[in-house]
Amino acid sequence: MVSGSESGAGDVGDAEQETQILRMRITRTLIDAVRASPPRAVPQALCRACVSLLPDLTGLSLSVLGQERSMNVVLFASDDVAGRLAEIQYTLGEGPCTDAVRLRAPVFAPDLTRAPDASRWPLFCVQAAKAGAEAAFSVPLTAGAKVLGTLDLYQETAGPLDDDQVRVALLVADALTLAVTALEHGASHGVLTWLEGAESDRVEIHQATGMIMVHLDVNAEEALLRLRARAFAHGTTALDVARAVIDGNLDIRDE
Amino acid sequence: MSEHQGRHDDSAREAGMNRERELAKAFVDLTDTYAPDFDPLRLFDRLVHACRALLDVDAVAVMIADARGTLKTMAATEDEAAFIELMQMQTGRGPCMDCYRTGQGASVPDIDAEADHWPAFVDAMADAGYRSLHTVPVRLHERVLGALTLLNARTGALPDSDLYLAQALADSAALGLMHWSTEPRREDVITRVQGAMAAKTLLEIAKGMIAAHHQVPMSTAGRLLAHYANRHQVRLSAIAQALVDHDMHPATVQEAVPEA
Repeated sequence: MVSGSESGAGDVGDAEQETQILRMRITRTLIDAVRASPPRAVPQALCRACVSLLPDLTGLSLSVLGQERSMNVVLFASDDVAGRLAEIQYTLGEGPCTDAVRLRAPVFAPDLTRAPDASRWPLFCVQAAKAGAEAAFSVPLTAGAKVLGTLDLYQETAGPLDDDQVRVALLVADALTLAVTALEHGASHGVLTWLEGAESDRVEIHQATGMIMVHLDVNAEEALLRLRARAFAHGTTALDVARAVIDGNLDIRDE
Repeated sequence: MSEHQGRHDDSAREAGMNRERELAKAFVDLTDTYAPDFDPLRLFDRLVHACRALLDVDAVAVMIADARGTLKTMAATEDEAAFIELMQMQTGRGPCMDCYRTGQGASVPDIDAEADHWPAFVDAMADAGYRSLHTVPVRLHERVLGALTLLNARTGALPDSDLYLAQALADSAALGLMHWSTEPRREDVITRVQGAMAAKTLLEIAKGMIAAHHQVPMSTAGRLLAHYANRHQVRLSAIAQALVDHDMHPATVQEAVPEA
């Protein structure tokens, strides 16, 4: 290479592998937490595991969206403030978590005490300060096309998340998406199985999801579920199933 | 794509004029992102197609960093499997990741010279039919968002003027993505970039729906969707959303398949 950046650059690790290792570590932590707890205690066990994965945050909560805002449910909260912050946003209809759902992207407010955050959500920021939070960070739980809920983090003092915290928060949200899907569709396989089926976010899985939607006339969430169920039943990965669907070697209708 | 004319006086002048017009149009297209119907997918699509039209290159792709730590292909001028695979294998390491990590572009005038360094990548380049590549960082002020890859079937370096232009186009796209915010906060960049990735995910699901309904390859499905969006002047992400939400039937997207 002309610019000479490659000497040494080749020694840098593979970011895909590093991300995958971190993803597996996070998934493993959640699995261990779920495995050790009775079914009814699963949400609290997940909560404690999330706290252990994001130790520098003051608190966090996980919310699942209902049909409308008033039906949103706080599945777990690590403390009263975290739960209160979620409730405030549902009541007011504004805040980072409301925007994260709308934008289907993480929304981070590192300083709720001043602009631009304070001017963006004036009502929420006042209430958040009263509750005891100066920074709030919301990550949507996105399953294909649908936002199932949000992972919300807060800090009692203002300040940004660093890159590693952002990365862990997003990967924790990915794993929680699987757990929430399992809790919602419950019975058949359980949270454990779904968590173990964690795969990286691949184009092939999205494309196959779309194909299965048409083949089975179902929504995206159900299609993704069927894809993962097929992988589980045949002891293979979701990515392998996706590739077979795309290549025309597998028709889920034949199940 | 526009064919440049021969080097006779009139046609040369005309070609020069055309190029100026194309250049101006490319920058306007990349920077006109104030519109309420702003579509991040179209922005990246315009970036790669502007590069191919204006530079002496055969193929272009743009990869952007996911906050989870990998690179994602946001747009490419090519849609065949070998090309997709060439980009896919670079999500964790390779010329694009080096460019993203260092913030420096690089030139690989002959990919065979890299056989020891990136053996698998060199093979994938051969499979896809390319022999040289250049990377250009996609920058937003001091922050690097990702990398642009310029590929050629022949060996050889690109002239500096082409690389400057590629950098200018890439920088414009990055500013466009952030709506020309003069000092975008890191937090807002994350929101915008991850939002663009969510839109891309939706597009891939929609592509799968079109491919299954019309029983066409994924690449054709992608072209059908892009063609439909252009013809009806609607955002590609809006169409993808409507399809995935079952507000629009895949049969609607059924115009004649455009040529590759």
